[in-house]
Amino acid sequence: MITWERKALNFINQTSRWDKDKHISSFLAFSISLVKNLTEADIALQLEFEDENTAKVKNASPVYLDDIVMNPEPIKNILYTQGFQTICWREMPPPSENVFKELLQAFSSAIIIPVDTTPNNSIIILGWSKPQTFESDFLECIETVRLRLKEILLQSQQLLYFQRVAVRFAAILHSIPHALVFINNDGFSGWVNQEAATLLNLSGPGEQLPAVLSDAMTQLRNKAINTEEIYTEAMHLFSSPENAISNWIWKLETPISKTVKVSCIPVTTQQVSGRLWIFEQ
Amino acid sequence: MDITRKNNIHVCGNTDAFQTIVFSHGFGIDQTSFSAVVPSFEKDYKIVLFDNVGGGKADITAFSPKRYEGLSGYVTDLADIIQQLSLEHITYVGHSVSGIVGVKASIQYPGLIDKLILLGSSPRYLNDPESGYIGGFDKHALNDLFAAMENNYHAWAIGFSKLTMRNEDRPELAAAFAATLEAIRPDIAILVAKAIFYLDCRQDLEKVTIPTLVVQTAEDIAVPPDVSEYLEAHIPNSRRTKVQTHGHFPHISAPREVVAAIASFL
Repeated sequence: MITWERKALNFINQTSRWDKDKHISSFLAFSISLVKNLTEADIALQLEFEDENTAKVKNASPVYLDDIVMNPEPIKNILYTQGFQTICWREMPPPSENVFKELLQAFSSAIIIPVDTTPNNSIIILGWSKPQTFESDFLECIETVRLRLKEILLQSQQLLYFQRVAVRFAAILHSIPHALVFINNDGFSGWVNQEAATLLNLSGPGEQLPAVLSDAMTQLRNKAINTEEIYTEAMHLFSSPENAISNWIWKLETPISKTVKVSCIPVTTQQVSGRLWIFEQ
Repeated sequence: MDITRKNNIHVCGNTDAFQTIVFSHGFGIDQTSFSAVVPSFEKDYKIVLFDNVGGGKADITAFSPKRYEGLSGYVTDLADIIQQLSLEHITYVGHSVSGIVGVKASIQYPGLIDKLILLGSSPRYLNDPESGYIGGFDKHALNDLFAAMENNYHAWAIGFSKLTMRNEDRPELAAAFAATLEAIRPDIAILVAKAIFYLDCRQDLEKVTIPTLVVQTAEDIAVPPDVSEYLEAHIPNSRRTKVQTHGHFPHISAPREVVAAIASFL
């Protein structure tokens, strides 16, 4: 017989082995479905408090419950009165006290697991058609599952947030008419927008090795007819990591004659140290 | 939040009546769109009218992009209205997208509604070539629609109101619709329009267990005849009736015919 302790370990093991090549949004759905199977529940879902007017069902099994909107206030009230601890309904409360009656129609027992992942807190709901006793070893298993689900939720939310930020900034930086080149001082990372990729004859925009970028910029500089002036300014620029330059004129001859106004600004934050090159054509 | 204020609820008619009719307006209009239909039922029915959040005189502070990015928020609102007003024995008349809100509410809250009347409703506006479903719009048309809304909402509202209202001999109808459309905050209108036009609830139809009347107009740019036929074919206990008026708003352009259709089903 499989003990609840073993099921809890099984849950941690299986969620740790989750295929990270899959999209992060499926991680939570996979995990909730796994909890449903391990606990032999008939229903399992996440209810996320999206804003003060919206609590939305997500990652539900069965899936037809997804996107149902509930009013957060009565749910938050019951969580508050229970001290934000896991709520065990061995028997379902009367309809007047059951804030989940639309979700838990014709169920006998349920567990409501608060998962604090500020700012978007969630609860996980499990329901059973047959009455459950919820012995102490089962509740310990649920507590382990709760802690692991919290990790998974935080990981998912953070990764989705970073992906959104990356997409947004890439869209903004690619829309700027100037060629932008960022070279990180770590020697391993650099980034160019579409304009810079075209100007420097690179394979494409996005991440590029600093060595590749330096090489491409040297080639561009070598096309200039005022290389002596450029070299003199460069000597001064690189004499100190804090130096910056703007209105630095590179007169290019090939493939067409044009003047490029170059700026080079040191970028120094707690997390990032490098140089931003801006080429105005 | 007080639900009467939130949804600008008005209860009229015979408040002691056994049966209730709940009227729910569609996109871009408000509860006054039923003003020519309601008097015919005031003697024998309790009548409940309300404005959906984001439209009419509903409380604008209740609007949440998260809650109303799909239809689920409106379904919950409808259930809240019916439960908090302790309404029973309900015939729900939903115009356009609100018909689908009624469909979903009847499934999600068994026993909430007794009968459904769908005025110019559609389970999906986008064609689905794979299944052969005709919704009336292709992706290109919808992209153009949203681009037009985003570029110049005012101009779009005037053009869209004429297209959907028809009844060119009575231009005041389209002008009135344009006025209510323009009264909506453009960001809300665009969000709600996307929720509507990207809707696909065809799979819900077979789950409807209550008697349903599908009301179809002679020519409706938003809901071609194929859609009404699809609803009738896929909602188990349904029947379809036609009203001889053009446009998407039969309760405004031909209220007598709509009254007759409703009365025949009560």
